[in-house]
Formats: sequence, structure tokens, C-alpha cells
Amino acid sequence: MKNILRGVALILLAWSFFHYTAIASPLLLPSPVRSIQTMFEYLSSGMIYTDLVMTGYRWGVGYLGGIATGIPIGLLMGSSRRVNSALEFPVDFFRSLPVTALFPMFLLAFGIGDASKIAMVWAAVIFVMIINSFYGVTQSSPRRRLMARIYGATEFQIFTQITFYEALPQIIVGMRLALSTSLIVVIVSEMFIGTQFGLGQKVYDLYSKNLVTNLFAVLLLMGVIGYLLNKIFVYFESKIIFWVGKQ
Amino acid sequence: MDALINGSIDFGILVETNISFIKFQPGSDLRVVAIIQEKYDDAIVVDSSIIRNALDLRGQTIAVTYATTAHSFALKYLKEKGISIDSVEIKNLPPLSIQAALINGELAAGSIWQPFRYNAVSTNSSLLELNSKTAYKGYSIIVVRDEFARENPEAIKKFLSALIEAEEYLNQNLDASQRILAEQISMPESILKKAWNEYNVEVKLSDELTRSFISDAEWIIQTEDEFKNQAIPDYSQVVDTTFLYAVAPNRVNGSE
Repeated sequence: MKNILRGVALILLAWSFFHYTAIASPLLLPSPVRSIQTMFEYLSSGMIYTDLVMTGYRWGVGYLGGIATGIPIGLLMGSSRRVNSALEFPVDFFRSLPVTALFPMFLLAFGIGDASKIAMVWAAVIFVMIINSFYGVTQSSPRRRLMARIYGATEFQIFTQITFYEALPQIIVGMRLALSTSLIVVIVSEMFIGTQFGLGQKVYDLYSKNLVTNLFAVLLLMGVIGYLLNKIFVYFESKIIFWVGKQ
Repeated sequence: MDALINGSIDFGILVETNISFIKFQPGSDLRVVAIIQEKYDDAIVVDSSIIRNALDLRGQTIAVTYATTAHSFALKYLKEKGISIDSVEIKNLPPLSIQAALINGELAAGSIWQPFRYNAVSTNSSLLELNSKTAYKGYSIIVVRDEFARENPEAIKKFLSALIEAEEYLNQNLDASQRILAEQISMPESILKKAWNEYNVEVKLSDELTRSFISDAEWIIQTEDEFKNQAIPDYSQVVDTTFLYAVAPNRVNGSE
């Protein structure tokens, strides 16, 4: 807790310094006090709830969809040389492309509705999950698998009871990496493709209207949400892969 | 705008809507030293199978990009045609999305500017443009910071003189100018020529610019939640005629 407070104080100190010494124009860097007040006004008035819900919906569907499709593909690639050689090139090719730069393609393919933004989040998550799941499998112990095979375990049993669990820590690493990437992508997709409600759209609108105090209030809120999501994730991570780091 | 405010650049070419918005913020120390262009390039592009004329816009969703000239145009166009803003739904989208949605039929109407208008209409033949030169006129303006204006009056005068020279060259060598511009902005010359009449290139300053700021401020207060109940900012000191008057007094009209 002390470290968190220290971090918050450091950010506020730097922000206040640049604002109150007028090193940065107040039109570009607003007062931290006013920005924090505005953030609480947004929360207490409920003005931002629809934006929060819509961004959360797009992110949630895209993120879970990316995980649900990326993990099986990565596990398959890690378990089968044939699948790996078939998918290696397309996976490496598409994961090298920045998904945010492909927004015109998503726009044309999925239209201006939620589908295009969800698809962008999905695309940002799936390749991270494929790669991490793949490496999770390749890093699992061949000795344990051999031992299980000697004792008569079926391939399915080996996969579900050994390989998967050994790959799980790396899968979780992928999920955590994809968490922050997907949050960025959902915001950017809303800014680029546009929508009626969403935090990305809100940021874009406030910037267009030069409402920098409100803009920073939304940015602060986004930072807090990102931080909390990360903390929640770490909590569940320690429950799910409780054995990691204890061997 | 940001680059101008933080001093990364000294001269900025903006549109009048930018100034209308920024003046709502305290400490916005910007001056307009010249208009370089009047423009009529905003239009509501509509799907002609649904909307045949302006009155058909009632009950429809019109996409606009908030806080742009196309937003201002759409609202003023509706007003001119006697259509209440409450009778349409205004949807906020970036111009590229409006263009794409019009092309693939996801939207019945969208207010956009060039080249998005051209891209949409040339790709989908069922699209029509609803335009009006009397509803709205946009301005491209030269803007500087107060501090820069105080410290560099000669630089501003020289820049304005160069712009006047460029305008004169353009009027005397229209074909060559269009060719140069088409090349610079990577647009086919034939299309540029078609859209040419939507712009009136002239370095000047006149009273109507301040009236345009005030008119913009009125729709901002009426339509934007964040600006409700705010007073119209004081735009009287924004337009600075000193420099243009020193260079070409005949190009300054009105009391500014």
C-alpha cells in the first residue's frame, strides 16, 4: 500500500510541477486537482457509465474470444509438428502486423458497429495466446510425458493432465500480456472506427472539443481501471497457478 | 492546434471551428492574422434509394464527426431546410468510417468533406450529395500565438506577403497551380478541377469571420452537453488585422 501511495504521489507531484509552473500550457496539461474532481463528477453523475459498459463489453467479448480460440490453436501447434508447420507462417505473418494499422480492413469487413471493434480486440489477443500456448507446450517436460506413457496413460490423458498443466503458466503470461494489449486496442478501435458510446470515443471527442480537463479525467479513470484489472488478474493468477515459483 | 499552443510551430492553418471551440477554454492566446480560403466543401452524402431530398432526412440518422466544419454544416443545413434537429439522430463517427459506411450501405446519411465525399460518391453510384452554399461557409485561417505576434511582427508580415504572392500566382496560372496542387496532395487533376469551385482562395480579413465564430459558439452551446449554459466567449480580440492591414490594407474589410 505504501508503494502504491508513493507511486500516486510521484505522478501527482510531477503533474503539479509541470502544470503550476506553467512549463506546459494549461490548454494541454490541466490542473491535477480539477482533473481528479472531474473524474469523480463523471463517476458520481453516471455520465460515463454507458461509455464504460460499452467499452467493457467490446473488450470482454474480444478478449475472451481471443483466449478461447488462441489457446486451443497454440496447444495444437505445440503438440503436433504437422499443425505447427502448417500454421507457423500464417501465425508469424499476421502477428507481425500491428492490428491498429489494419483498422480500415476491419472497418470494411465488419462495418462501423461493435463487430469491427470486437474483431480488432480478438485479433490482438489471439496471436499472443497462440504463441504463449505453443511455447507452454514445447517447454513442458518430455520426461514426465514419457513416464506417463510408460505407465500406460493415453495421449489424451497425457495432454490434459500433464502437458496442459505444464503449459498453463506460460498461457497465463500470454493472458496477462494480452490483457494490456487488448485494452489499448479497444480504446484505439473506438477512436479510429468511431462509436456512439465508448471510452475511446469519449477521449477523441473531448480532445476535439479542447476539453482537456475532462480528457485527463477520462484518462485517469482508464489508468485506474487498467491498474485494477491487472491487480485482479494477478490475484486470480496466484490462485490458478499456485505452484509456480514454489518448487 | 496543440503544436501551435506548445510553440512547436509558429503558424498554423486551422478552420474557424477550431477557434470557436478553443476560446471556451481560459488562456487560449491565439490570434487569427488572415483568412486564406473560404470553403464550401462540406456536404451531406445520402443514399438516394432512401433520401431523395433534404426533407427525407427527417427520421434518419446522420453521421457527423463532432466538432468539425461538417458537423457545423449539417446542423446549419438542417436549420436552413426547416428540419428540426430533434427529428433526426446525429451519430458521431470519424470521416473514414462515415465514408466506408456510406459506401457499403450501412448509413443513409453522413456529413463529410473532401476527399471523403468524392471517395464515397465515386465508389457507390447510388449516393447523392446535399449541399448548400447559403447554409454554411467554412474558413481556412492563419493562426499565431499572442507571444509570437508580439515578438515577430515582421515575420508575420513577410509570411502574409508571401501568401498574397502565392494567391496572385494562382489566379494568373490556374492550370499550373492546379497541376502542382494535384501532385502535392496525390489527387487526380480532373477531380481537383471539379472540386475547385468549392474553394475561394483569397488572403483577407473581414467582420464575417467573427460572426462565424459566434454562430459556431451558439450551436456548440445548444448541441454539446459539456458546453451547456456557458456564455459565448469573447471573440472580439481574436482577429488581429494589424499585420494584413500593414501589408495590404485593401484586403481588410469591416471594423476588425
